[in-house]
Amino acid sequence: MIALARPAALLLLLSLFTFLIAEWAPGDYLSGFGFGSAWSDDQLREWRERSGEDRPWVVRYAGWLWSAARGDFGQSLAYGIPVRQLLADRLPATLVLSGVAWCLSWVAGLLLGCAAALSGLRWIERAIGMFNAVLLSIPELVLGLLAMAWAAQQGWLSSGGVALPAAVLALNGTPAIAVHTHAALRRASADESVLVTRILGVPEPVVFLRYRLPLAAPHLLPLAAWSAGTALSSSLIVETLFGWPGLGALTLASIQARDTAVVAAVVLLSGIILLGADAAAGAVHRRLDSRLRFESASEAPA
Amino acid sequence: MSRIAPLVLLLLPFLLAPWLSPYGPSEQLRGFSSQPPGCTPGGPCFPLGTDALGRDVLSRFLHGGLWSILAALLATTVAVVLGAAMGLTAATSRRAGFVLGGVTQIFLSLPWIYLLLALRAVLPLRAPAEWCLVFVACVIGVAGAAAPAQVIRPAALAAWRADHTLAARGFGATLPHLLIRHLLPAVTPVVESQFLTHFPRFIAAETALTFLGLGLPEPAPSWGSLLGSARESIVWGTGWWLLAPAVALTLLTFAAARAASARALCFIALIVLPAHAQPAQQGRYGGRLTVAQRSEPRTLNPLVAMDASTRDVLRMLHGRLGRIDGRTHKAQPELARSWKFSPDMRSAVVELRRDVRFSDGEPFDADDVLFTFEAYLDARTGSPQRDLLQPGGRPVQVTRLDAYRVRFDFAQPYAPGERMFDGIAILPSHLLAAHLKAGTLAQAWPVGTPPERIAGLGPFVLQQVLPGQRLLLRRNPHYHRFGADGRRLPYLDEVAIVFVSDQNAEALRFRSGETDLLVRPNAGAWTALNASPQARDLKFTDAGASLEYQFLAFNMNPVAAGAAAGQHHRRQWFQTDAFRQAVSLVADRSAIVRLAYQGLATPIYHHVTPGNREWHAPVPGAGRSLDRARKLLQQAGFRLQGGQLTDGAGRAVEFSLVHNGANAQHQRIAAILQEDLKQLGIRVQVVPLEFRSLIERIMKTHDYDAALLSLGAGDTDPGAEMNIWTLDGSMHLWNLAAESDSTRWEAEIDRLMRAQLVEPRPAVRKQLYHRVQRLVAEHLPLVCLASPNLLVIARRNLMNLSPSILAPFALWNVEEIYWSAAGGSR
Repeated sequence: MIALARPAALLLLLSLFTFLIAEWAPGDYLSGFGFGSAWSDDQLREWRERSGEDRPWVVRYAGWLWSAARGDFGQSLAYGIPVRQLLADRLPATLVLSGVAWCLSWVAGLLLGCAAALSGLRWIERAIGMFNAVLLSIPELVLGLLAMAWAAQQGWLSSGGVALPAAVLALNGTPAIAVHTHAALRRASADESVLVTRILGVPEPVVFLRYRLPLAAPHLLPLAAWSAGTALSSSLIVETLFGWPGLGALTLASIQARDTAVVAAVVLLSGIILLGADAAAGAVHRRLDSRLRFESASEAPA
Repeated sequence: MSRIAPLVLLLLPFLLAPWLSPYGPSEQLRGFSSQPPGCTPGGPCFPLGTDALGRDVLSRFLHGGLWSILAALLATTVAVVLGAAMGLTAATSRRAGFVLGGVTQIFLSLPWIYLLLALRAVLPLRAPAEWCLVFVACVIGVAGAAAPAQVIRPAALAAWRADHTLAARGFGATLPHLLIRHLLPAVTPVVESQFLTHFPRFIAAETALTFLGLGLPEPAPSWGSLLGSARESIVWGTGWWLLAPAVALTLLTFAAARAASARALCFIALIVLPAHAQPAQQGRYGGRLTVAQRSEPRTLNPLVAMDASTRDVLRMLHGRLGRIDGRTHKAQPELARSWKFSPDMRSAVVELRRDVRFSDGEPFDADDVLFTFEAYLDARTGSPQRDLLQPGGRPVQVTRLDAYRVRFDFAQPYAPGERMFDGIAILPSHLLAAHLKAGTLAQAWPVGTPPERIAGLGPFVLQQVLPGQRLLLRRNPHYHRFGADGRRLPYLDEVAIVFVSDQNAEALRFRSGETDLLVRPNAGAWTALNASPQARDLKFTDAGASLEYQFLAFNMNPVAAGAAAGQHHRRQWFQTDAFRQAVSLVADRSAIVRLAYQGLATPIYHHVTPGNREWHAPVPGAGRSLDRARKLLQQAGFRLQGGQLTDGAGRAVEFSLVHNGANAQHQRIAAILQEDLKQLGIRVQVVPLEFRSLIERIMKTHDYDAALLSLGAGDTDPGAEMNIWTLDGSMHLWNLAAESDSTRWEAEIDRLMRAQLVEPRPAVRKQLYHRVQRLVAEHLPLVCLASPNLLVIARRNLMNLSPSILAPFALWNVEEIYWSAAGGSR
């Protein structure tokens, strides 16, 4: 029971924060349209009344919560259709993009990290360090535009599909993974078990696969969970830039338009994904580290 | 010491920026804009080139470096220290881990952009740029602490369970000792790598803020905003030297991790230098026009369409009784065969076309017209057009005379007359009558509606909607109009609308051949495409000054009770005619046109631009004059002492200028005005705001000094400007409480505007409106600056295209557009 109560409480808090922030941010959905159009004050007032936007935020939050509890996330102000339908339309695109980007960044990051830790050649380590520094220093917005400009010149912009945005997202995530893998592997090579096996004359590839990698893995798991769990919020700008029809672009547009019901639903979804990724990482960690298994058997699970 | 030395060495050039940089960070050499690195012939040298306003990139880069590095260091320190504290605490205590784990998960799930949007509003408007940077750094740092915490915690947990820690605990070691001697050393590599990855990320994060309109104020030269403002140059490959901050940041990051390497430059060159390959060969495919739009339609129901993107799409699906011709700016019959207004403009009889069918084959007659107007006027629908149909506060009466004749009666003479018809889409009563009866018209036809349930009288019908991606229209076989060659319109088989939310991305899609039309590109895109080898296959149309006017508005609202003391005297300056006139006299409109719009704009002195041929009144004697401005200020009691203007009471004249941070042109105009007003001894603080936050300040809280804004009249007719110029108008934005507290000239403008709206004689109406324009040019409630030209770029073989300054600019006659024999797109 407790195992379920905690995530539920977290998600509740998360939605509360979303509404609080929306209340805090200046302007509402209509304030953007009132400017420059022929809307009269009466019309604005009338619209706010009809849409329920004139109610205090607590009331709006309670209403949203009530409908969310029944699996419905209210109506989008901008689209006038149920939020659930909006999300259902866009979730697949985002899952494809983030899934591909996540896999790419982990393959590249792990390879680079291992190469830097294993090669023993100074210049390879340096080159990889430089590569990381370059990627970390170029904002994803600039990287995205560079990629688009390049693809446009090659004539690939329209036929690229998921490749281009996924590559930009992946390049964005790769350096952190590479740096961490490198650090974790270096740390692992100083471990007693590695020293002992080396002294015993076990071949280096075996040492790497059987000892260094398993020792480093627990340090990488949280990063993996974190990068998978924040897939939604990290793809906001790239999706917008590439016109990818996913949740990221919708979220950014909804934040800017103050379409709170949509933002709250996306944040909730993002929270669920994060909790799920965390739980998965925890499970893998328990499998890798037998000490944890014994511990959780003897103590009550948190 | 030896650890700090390299860092100090790296920071040294930035610490010495005031002495090392050849120019001031905000000094504008307006004759040398966008210069590549090197020396100009016989002129000054710019080692890293200049930006669009003629500011030396090296100087800005050096000056900005210190603040960016310090802010990022601060943010990283906050994030990593906080994250480490959270991670370590969570490892040592189950309960703390339970709580802190939740906190991190909440922070990780909330997009930090969302958090910043709300927190930014807390910051006072007049906070200096440097403090904004520190504030943003702290917010990013706190919000970013979740990631390090998440990563550090398991490492700390492993150390907590390690044998040596266990032994120490057994010997009774205190918690601080355990933390410092046993846990901290174990997590150090993780903390270090977190620091290394977060430091450059945080400088880069600032770039995203410029994209969202949350960027730093001009003229602050922070690296993130330098990179953000280089966006356009990246797209066109015209200003690679503007990427200097990214190069420096790379070096800095690398140097911080290891010793700097010469290989650095090779890597940068590989990534930054655009490959100069031949553009792709254009594919050809009959009869489809692909256009990009800045956002997708939010609904398929014209009754409740609120934004321009939605309306532009729906215009192609629905017909109107009459529409405004983009060439002549006059209304012409469409579904009406003809109309006749009474001489007093109080009533009209409209004769409808016969044999017109909706796209589903159902016939159209007077009942549909009656139904449509009833639907628009129904309070339960809540249509934005409802006010338009209530001139004088009373709804227009629509009477059916017979199946093809309808009579309209207005409560008062309605001078714009038939122009009204342009905004009203005629709807099929056979599909929507039940909704009207039930009062659910506002919910009818949302975006997911199956195409076969929608019918219209426009040239196209809906074929397919891919949410967030694309909309496909195909020709309406029942469309009622015929072309000059006697064949049924439209010529195009299909129109595809793709959604691109960023202007640069839109331009790139056009350049790559994915779209066929680039409507209202920015000046950078226009110039770059004009110079590219592609230009041969493109048709460039500069339709001259658009209806949009950029202006500076001073806050002349009465001061609210309990406002800060500074508010009172600032409002007094703003309410002084001479002050605004002096500002208008020093505003360098030609520099704005040249630098912010690369010459593709027109300087203006009041709100009716020269593009509005029918109504524009020329203003004699307008021009820039520093002397006259100084004299005016002196006469009004201001004094110029030591380069600082003071008012009669000896207070220094300075104010803040808010603008939409996402608008690159406005950012440049603000920087130009800032420099210009310096010549009068006025210090201006530029504050970029996110759009809705900006509007909230101007329309609701009135908490601002001056604002840089733009408005674009929806129509050439003065009737469209009523809500701006009448005293009770909802857009009377410089003084929203004007009813009770107005000046003589404001009251006069109000009187003239009301008179012209009910004046049936066109010539008299014109005179009245010309007087309004002269009053605006003299008293300057809005200091109008420039009107960007209406630009359209299209494929050369796209025929019958006739770009207009009236929305929707290029596709107003979409049914007449066709691909020449050379073939269609793709």
